[in-house]
Amino acid sequence: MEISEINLSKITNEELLSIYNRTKEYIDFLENEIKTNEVEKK
Amino acid sequence: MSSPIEILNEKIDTDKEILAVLPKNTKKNVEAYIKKVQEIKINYEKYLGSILGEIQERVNKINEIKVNPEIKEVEEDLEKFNNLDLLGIGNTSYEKMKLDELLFILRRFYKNNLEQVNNNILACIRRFAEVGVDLKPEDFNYSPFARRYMKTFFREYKKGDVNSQTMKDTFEKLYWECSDIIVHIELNIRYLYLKHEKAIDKHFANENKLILKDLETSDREYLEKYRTLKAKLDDLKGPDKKLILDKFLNKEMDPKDYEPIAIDKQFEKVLSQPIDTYVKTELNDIKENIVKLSKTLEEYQNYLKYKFVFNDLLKIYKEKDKYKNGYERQKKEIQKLESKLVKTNRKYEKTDRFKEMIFFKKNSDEKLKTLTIDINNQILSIKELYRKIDDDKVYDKIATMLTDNSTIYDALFLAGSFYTFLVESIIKEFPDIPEKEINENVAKIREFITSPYITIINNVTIKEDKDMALMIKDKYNLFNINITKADLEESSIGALINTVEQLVNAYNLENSGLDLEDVKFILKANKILEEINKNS
Repeated sequence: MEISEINLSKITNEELLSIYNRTKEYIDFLENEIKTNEVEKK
Repeated sequence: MSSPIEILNEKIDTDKEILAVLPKNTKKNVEAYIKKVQEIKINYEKYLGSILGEIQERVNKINEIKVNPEIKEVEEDLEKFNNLDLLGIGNTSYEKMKLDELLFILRRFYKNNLEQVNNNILACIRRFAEVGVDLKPEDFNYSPFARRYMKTFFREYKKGDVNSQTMKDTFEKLYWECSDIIVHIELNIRYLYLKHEKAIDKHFANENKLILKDLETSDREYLEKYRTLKAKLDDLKGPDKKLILDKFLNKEMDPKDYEPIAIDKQFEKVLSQPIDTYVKTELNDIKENIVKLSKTLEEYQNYLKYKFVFNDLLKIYKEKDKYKNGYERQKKEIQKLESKLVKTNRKYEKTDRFKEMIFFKKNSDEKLKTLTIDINNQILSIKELYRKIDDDKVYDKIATMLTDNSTIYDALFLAGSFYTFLVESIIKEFPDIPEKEINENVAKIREFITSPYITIINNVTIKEDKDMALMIKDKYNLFNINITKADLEESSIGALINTVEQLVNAYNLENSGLDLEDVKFILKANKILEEINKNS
């Protein structure tokens, strides 16, 4: 199942906040990944 | 079926695997790797945007909750009572004009600053104008010093600043000539009140009639009407969804205190048996009685706090025969001395007019000195009588209005009408109390005696020695609420009040229809939204 299939308007408040936190956490990880590799590239 | 978080984790794991297999051994490969990471990141950022949109929408929906419009209506009805003296049964037009409060600052001028003193003189002049007496500089003829000060005062008042440099300089100059200058002005204002007392009384009688007509009530019923409205307002505000939500948002209430487990724990503190032994209807009755208990505790705590006022009043009541008609006697005595003072002041003015003529100069200077001393001495004697008349007025009322059948409430209500009596009682009980706290206490006492929740002290007469704590304990024990006399002691009642307050809040929350889950959500969501706004 794809994340786009999650109906955001149907999920509970708690589920909404937990997917917000998890998404945010993964974005932070990806950002860090970009920074680290930019340094390595040089 | 997978939960949203499981679906998201699966997707993240897949993306992690995609990244893990990408080579990073050359610069070109690293560049390709970064590009892929950026591509994935953009997708997640878009998704985060949708999540935030949904969060915002849910927050908006919760924020749409409005305060019950009936609350505003009742508040507006209560505002009409602002101009009505709720404590007016016992007091006189002097208290109604608030001259007792305003002049008390002047009486204790050494505890205040000159600006405060001038502001209060101005407030007195305005209070006189409001009751139809327009004071002029020539009304301040209590002494040559009061006259000189007030002449400048009125001039500066016209210019718009009673705390101007000219005013300060005038005070500085006059103070060294007569350090009792503020006492002279205070007594002059009191003299002016007595001079116009009848007209002022008439003004208040007419004004009261109009207000009572507007409120569609009578002088016997208005306090009851006020109390009924106050209670109605509390009943509306208590379970109001929006007001409860605001308490959570303002951190006055914490959601974790209202989780079922936390509330059961509080219940167990006041129930005689474990909570699960009660059936639903029994628990509902208990909850309603806890709301009543909260009002009883508030009343009893206030009584304990201000018992000293009642005790002071009781002492006077026990010697009441000494005080009957004391006020009228004292007033006549003051007026007699004041007519003498008027004559001395006239002599002073006359001598002062001739002073500039060389022929009279030496003689006049000497005469003025003698007259000044005479005026000061007369004023000091009158001052003592005025200090006494404040007490006599209250003592007289206590002697004539209270009987052995009067209740503690009747006594406190009467005391509450007299500012100076309250203040003296407060200062006697707390000698080091800061000035600001004196008035705060006066306001609290008055709020207490006009509260709609008086049920104990209006059932105990001033002569009875009833154990009120026992009465409260026994009454609520009958309704399955387990409180002890020790819980009601002054040192521990605060803890019981906190427990009961939390239970009342929980009861209101239950009746409000506000979902605790929504509250927890909005608190977390607001933090997220604030963080985003801060970073954008």
